[in-house]
Amino acid sequence: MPDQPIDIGKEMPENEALWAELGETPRSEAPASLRRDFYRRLRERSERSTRWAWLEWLRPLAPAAIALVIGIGIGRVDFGPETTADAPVVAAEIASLRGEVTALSRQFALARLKDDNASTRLDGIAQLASLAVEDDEIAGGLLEAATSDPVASVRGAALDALGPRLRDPTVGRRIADLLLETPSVLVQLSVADLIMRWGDDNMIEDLVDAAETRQLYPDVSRFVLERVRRKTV
Amino acid sequence: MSDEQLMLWLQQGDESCLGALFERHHGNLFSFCLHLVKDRAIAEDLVQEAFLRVLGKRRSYRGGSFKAWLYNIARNLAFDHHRRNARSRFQQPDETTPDPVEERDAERVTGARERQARVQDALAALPTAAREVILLGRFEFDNYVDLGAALGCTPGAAKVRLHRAMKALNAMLDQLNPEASHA
Repeated sequence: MPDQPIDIGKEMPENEALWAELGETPRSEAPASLRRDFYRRLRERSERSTRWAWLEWLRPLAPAAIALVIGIGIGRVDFGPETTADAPVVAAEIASLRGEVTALSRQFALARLKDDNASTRLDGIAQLASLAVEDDEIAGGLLEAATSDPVASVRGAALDALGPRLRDPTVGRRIADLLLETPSVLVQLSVADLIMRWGDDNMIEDLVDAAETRQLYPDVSRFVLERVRRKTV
Repeated sequence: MSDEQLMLWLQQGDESCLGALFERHHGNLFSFCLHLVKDRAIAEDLVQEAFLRVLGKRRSYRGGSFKAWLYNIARNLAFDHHRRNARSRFQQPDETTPDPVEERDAERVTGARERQARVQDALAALPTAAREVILLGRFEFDNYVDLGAALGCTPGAAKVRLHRAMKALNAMLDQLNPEASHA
């Protein structure tokens, strides 16, 4: 199968008449109750999740807690009780091991950005997002993914992860260039959204200028101008 | 604003985007589900459940056509429903819904209308799997990439399934009216 979509209708020469007749198949109108009941269920779901939202803050701590418990368990089995004299040496060894594990996991996540599979690249971005703030190599990897990944959703996710670094001049300049150069509406929208959320006044001013002078796709321009209007009202 | 952009924002936590996606797609999705389950109440429930699943599974959305992803969720729900209610036959007409054959009888005044009615009867008589691929290919997706994504198979397999379904529809037309089927 070629990558380009094939128009199904044109692929039916032997069934052309039947294909046309199928177009007359009755289409049922959705009842008004469908909309009403959906929004009611959505509201109920949202109320339920709000009730337990206070537990959500515990979720990010779960992996750390599990690792701590396992670490304590291993420590008890492997090392047994330490004498006071050995404690600084052991602490240094643990710190060194921890550093190596962190470096390995960072390299592993960076390597995932180059994976052939788009969902693996997306996972890598999710893994690196929290580290991009203080790590230039990670920010560079994300920038590379944001500007040149072949899949729009991966570019969007990488862009999103770069938000906190947007005021860094190098990152900011590359993102501003991407805004005007990208052929994808989706990516341009993501960039515009990113600048509106994380950009400084100059970046926002340039963005609005680009929207007003029609340098952006019409949908993106509308989005930018509408957001500005909402902010100023 | 594309569906995929709305989905991206939904993933980022803006749940209001779900309303926009619902407003865009619930009408056609309802019609599709109704053709599958032949029961308005169940079709309504499937559509609502499909959109709630979109919200619940938003983090597993990996780009690509949102619509194909949505229809894939809905058809899986329809088949789950079918499995759970094996006794109540998937294709059994709903008592509260007017019988499409009776409803159309009054309209059978011209040859074209008769032919049209026969096509509808043949479509309704097809197995669900054949009917769904025809409906999706005719009304919802104009390329095999998205059709395949909605059916949970490759574009090549979607093409084969659609061609087989069209063949089955032709055979059903022959069976329902051997004299006038291929007018």
